[in-house]
Amino acid sequence: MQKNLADILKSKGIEMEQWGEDRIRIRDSDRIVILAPLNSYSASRADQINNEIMEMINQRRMEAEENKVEKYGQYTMRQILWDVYILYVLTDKEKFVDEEQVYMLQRDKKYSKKYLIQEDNVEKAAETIFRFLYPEHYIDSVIAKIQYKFTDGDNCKRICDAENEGKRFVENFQIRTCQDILDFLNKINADEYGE
Amino acid sequence: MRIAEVYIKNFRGYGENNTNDGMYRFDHLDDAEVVIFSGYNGFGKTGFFEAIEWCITGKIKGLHNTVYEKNTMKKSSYLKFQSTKQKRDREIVVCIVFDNGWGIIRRTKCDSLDVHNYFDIATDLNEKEIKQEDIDIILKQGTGQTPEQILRLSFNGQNKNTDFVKSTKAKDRTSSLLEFMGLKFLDDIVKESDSKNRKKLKSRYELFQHEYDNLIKEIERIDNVFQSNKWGTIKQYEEKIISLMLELNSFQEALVHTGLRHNLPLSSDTLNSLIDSFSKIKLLKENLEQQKSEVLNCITEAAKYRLQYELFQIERFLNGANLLQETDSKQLQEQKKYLGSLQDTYRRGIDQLRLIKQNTEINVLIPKPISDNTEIGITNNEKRQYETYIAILKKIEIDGNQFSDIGNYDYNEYDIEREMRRSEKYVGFLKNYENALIMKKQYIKKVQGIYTEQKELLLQVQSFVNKQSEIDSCPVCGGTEFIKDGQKGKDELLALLSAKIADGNLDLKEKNDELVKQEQRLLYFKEKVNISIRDKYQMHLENLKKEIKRIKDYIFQECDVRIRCNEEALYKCGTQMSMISSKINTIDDFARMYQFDSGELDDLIKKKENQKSKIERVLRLKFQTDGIKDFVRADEKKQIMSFFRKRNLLYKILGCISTILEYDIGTENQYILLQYEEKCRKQEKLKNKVLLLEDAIGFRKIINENSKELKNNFLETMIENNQMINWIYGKINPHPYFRELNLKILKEETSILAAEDNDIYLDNIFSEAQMNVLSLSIFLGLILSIKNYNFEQIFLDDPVQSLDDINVVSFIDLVRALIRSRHINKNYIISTHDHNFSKLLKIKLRNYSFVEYSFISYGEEGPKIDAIRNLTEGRTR
Repeated sequence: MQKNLADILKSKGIEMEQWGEDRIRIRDSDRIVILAPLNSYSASRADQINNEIMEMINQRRMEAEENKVEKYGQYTMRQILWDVYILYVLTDKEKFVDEEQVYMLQRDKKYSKKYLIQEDNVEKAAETIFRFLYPEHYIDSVIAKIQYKFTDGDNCKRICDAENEGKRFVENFQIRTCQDILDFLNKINADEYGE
Repeated sequence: MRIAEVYIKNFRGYGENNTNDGMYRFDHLDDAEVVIFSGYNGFGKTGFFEAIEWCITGKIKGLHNTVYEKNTMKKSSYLKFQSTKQKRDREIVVCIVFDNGWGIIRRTKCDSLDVHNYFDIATDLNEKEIKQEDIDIILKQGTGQTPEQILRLSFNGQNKNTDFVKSTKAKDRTSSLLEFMGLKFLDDIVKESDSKNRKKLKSRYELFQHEYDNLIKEIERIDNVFQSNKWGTIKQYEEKIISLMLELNSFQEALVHTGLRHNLPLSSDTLNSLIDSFSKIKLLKENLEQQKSEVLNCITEAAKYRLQYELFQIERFLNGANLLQETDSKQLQEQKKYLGSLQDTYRRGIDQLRLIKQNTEINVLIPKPISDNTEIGITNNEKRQYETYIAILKKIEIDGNQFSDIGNYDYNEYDIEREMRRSEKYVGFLKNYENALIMKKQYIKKVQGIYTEQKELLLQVQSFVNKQSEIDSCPVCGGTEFIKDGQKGKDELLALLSAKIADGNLDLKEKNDELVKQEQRLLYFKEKVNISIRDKYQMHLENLKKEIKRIKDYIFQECDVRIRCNEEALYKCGTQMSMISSKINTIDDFARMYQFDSGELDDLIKKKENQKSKIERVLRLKFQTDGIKDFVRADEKKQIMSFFRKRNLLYKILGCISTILEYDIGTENQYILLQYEEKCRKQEKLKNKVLLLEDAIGFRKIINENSKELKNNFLETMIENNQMINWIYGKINPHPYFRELNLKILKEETSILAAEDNDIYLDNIFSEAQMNVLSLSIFLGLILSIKNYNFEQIFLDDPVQSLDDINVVSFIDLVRALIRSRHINKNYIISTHDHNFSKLLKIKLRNYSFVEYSFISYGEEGPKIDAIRNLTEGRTR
């Protein structure tokens, strides 16, 4: 099942590498993202897994400091630790945990930022991971859908129905902008209007 | 459009920086993906945001709403930097440079924004003054929004953060959201167009409608009263009168054309003016009647003229006929012919006389006298001149003979040939004598030379001898014969030398005297010759000239007399000729005009004389005039037809006026008509009012329906269905259970519900920090959803205050995601007091371009700022 998930993610263009026995590290220039399946364990083991992952990262850090295995520009590995993300994945529905546990797990401040993805549909789980990794794709799709535009002239025309029923009035009362509409309303609502 | 650079001096917490111009400079605000302002509270981070607001609007809204309007700091110096140590005159300067190169510099010396005393000056970067309206226009063109709206949309200040969510009423929240989006007007339009809230318009409409109905009934009643007259309804009466008026007015052009005086057009706009017209029409009638009688008089005058004209024609006939009877036509023709030939003779005579004058003038062309007084005797030229004069005299004497003049000149008195010979003889003698004198002069000159040389030699010898004490012999020749025995030689020799010198001088004098005498004699001879030869010649030449002139003058005088006589005779002939021609023409014209046989002439004369006496009788009896003595004065009365036309026109107009006057209603009906007209006017006005109000009500309804729809549509699109808000909220995730929002708008009330449970109002249960996240989510969600807003910067003033670490990290992840978005082309200017946050921000944005302005301390002249720039790593815009 995990393999399936990895395949799907690969098919979405995500570059990955094996990270220990059953974990995957997703290549990302900004962050260290570790995909940790929890199906073989229980959610309560998340803390232990977190420690194991951090131990491995620490080891890498020391290797990096000694042998310069890995570079993160001018920043030290210590600083990079702020950019470690662990994505726990649970696809076995029977092992799903309640909201309280999810919150507890995600709010754990120790070393890294953690997310628990509970989804029995692997495709959907892969989609959630993808959205986590590339939120900008989601932003772009949402923004593209919203069509709202500020145009005073268009709003004015729409409010007055300037093309149809309101055409005569717009011409008679010389309405060009929304402020004109407001002025017109103030005028007709005044006591002296029509006198 | 982005803000690229900001310069601040003496504004709030900023004093004068340690630079040449004293300005605090913040650059790269446009090309860094994130700009961080970090530092402790009170170091000027918020002041930076306020400086921008003041520069582009001239106001600081936050201060207005809080400090100023509460009247607590009206006179305090909250705008200008106040140094405790350096009290001096300072000028506040804030300059903003946009990424397109345009910019604003705002200056003031005022301490605060006190409405009564505050003033500032805004200029562009070239120091050219610009008004706030121009700034508004330029920014609106660049971004699509006014500066105030830009501040509302793109500047998320600490106070504004929770405006939406903290509203006490859900309805206010909707208004607050609309105001934030610059759509407050929409809310206002919905409110102002709602007939349930604004009832005055409808009630006024109903009032006017009722009044209008009553007025219609009143008008009908007045009309019924009027109909008791014979003219039908008031409308019919009005139409009839108007048509008659139009007919009357239509005569105006004809009146002008015929030259009659009166301005016809009468007003027929209202019933009232129609009634007024009756009095005018009566006056008009009187006037036209008067004109009619004048025209009839003119017609009578014209008839008189006509009769006189006829009389003139008859008399003309009778004159012609009498002439025809009395005159022999052939004799007249012969006389005319004779006179013609006589005229030709006179003309020829005149021509000949003029020719003689002309010839004489040519003949007497005397050549210019040649005279040379230096000459002795007569020259050949002078001889030729004399001969020419003789020839002219002879020629002119021939012409003079024609006018009985015999010449006075005696040709034998002076013989030029003889005189010439005498002259040559004497002149030859004088020439020889003169030559002999010249030779003698030359000889004396030569002798004089020899004497001079000899004299000089003798003087030298004399000088030599004088120097000697004694001499024995001549020092020149050695002779001794001049020495007498017993005497000394020197004195002898000196006496001898003196005698020789004196002899030479005497001889020369004698020769010169002789020459002078001979020269005087020559002059005497010359004078004698001149008197006897030359003067005589001159005298005779002068006489010759006088004679020529006398004859010429005589000929001219005689010619002129004869020409004058001929001209007079010619004129007399002409006069006679024209009289005869006139008679001939009169007879010819008469014959041509009245073609008849000669036998009928007498009958015709009788007939015409009969007519003449009849006309004369009519003229005498009817017009008290004799003959045709007024005929010339009556020239202008020839146009008799025009009088008839005038008369006919006047008859027509007066007819029309009579018809109109039949409709004169009199004073008793006038009151009714006036009332009717007044009511009609009122009715018309009221009708317009009712229609206007009807339109206003109709249009208001349209506005209300559409504005509501637009508002709902907006709220639905931007609030209820805005996935960005929900996503941002979920990304930061401030609550353990409620991870999704449900912004619900029902009856214009905006409620913030938890998606997991719609009975939970999140704003009621959230803490301050959670509220911050909520408002930040809504702020960012809305601002990022507006499509045609081109101000590409978002200013976040301390966005993470009171957030926990996890939320802070989530916020930074959010910023990173926004930077990576292709659709969102904005950069983020974030201020924070939290050192860890700024540090973390830099770490997590290490792969992006950023600038950090770190407010490290605060001195006497404001903050000390360090700038860190990481611009090369970032994505390019």
